[in-house]
Amino acid sequence: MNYLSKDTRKKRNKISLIIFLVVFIFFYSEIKNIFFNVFELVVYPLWKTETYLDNSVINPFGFLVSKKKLLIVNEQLKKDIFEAETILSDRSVLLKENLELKQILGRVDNRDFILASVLAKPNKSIYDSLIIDLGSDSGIKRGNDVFAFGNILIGKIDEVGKKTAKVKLFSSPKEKQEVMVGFSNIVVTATGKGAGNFEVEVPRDATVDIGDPVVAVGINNPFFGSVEEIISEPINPFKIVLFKSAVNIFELKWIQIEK
Amino acid sequence: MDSDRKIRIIFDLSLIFSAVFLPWWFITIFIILGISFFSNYYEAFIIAFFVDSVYGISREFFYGISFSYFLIVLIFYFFIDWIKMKLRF
Repeated sequence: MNYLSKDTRKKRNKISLIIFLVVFIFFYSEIKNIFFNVFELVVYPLWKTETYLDNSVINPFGFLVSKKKLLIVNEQLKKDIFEAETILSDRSVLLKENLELKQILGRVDNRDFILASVLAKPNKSIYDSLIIDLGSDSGIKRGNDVFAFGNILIGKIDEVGKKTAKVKLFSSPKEKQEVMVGFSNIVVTATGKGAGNFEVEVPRDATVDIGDPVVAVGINNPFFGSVEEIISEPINPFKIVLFKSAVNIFELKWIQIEK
Repeated sequence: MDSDRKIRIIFDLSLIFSAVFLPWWFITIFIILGISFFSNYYEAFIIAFFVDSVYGISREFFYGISFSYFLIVLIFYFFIDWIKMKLRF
């Protein structure tokens, strides 16, 4: 009987490992999609518990904050609420007028939303994705639009499990999305830069200012964000406009999905 | 059970905990430490696969290759293994 030498065995093991890795990487997307449903069963109850604890447990060090500081913060918050209410009352009138005009012109907003809780925020993975607590059981489908605070478009449903779904954010690096920039509604393609930031290129002569709104293309014009910075160079016929999402994606607790 | 194995099991449990609850950079540090201090630390691949399955979204980054944490860990593994081999007397 012939026995293989130690070196030959080592070489064979290495070759089989490489072949296994090549095949595994080739079918990687399919394999990980199958395992998503398996891992979901394990992770879902853990994340649900974490979210529950997060919402119900009060900061244990809260009693260490001084009364004076609390009073100052309280006063500031009251002022902020008053200012926000004043702005909101004006906006409510405009919104009512907008809806009435759309009704007269036969463009009624019939969108149907479903509320979902965020289980995992983008900082948990390098993918810049959200994981929500609704899946195919609740009628969620791949490609559904995802909103924050009703009218701020943040992404699309990418993968759906039974009880959870993954949201691909428009701000994920290299993601492209058509938007309208500024009050002159310049239609451009925004590129995601990660963590809720975007970049667009507009002609140098286009009138865009810091603070201008950026909205998605469509009849309801979901809000995207506002212009934060403009970089313009004399040699470049285009200027780079940087804007960020109107919501902090790291602080999101609830989102709405358009069904 | 010898103490090395006990340490490895505790480390593995911490790695699983970090993969479910902690930010991605925490998991990466744990994986690098695991590969550096334990021999044949294949658990790193299982965790990377778990991260890809649970959090991964469809995204292409380099000539159509699907972006994956698994590939990054694979590169880390061979690189750290190579350094460990070079440092051995």
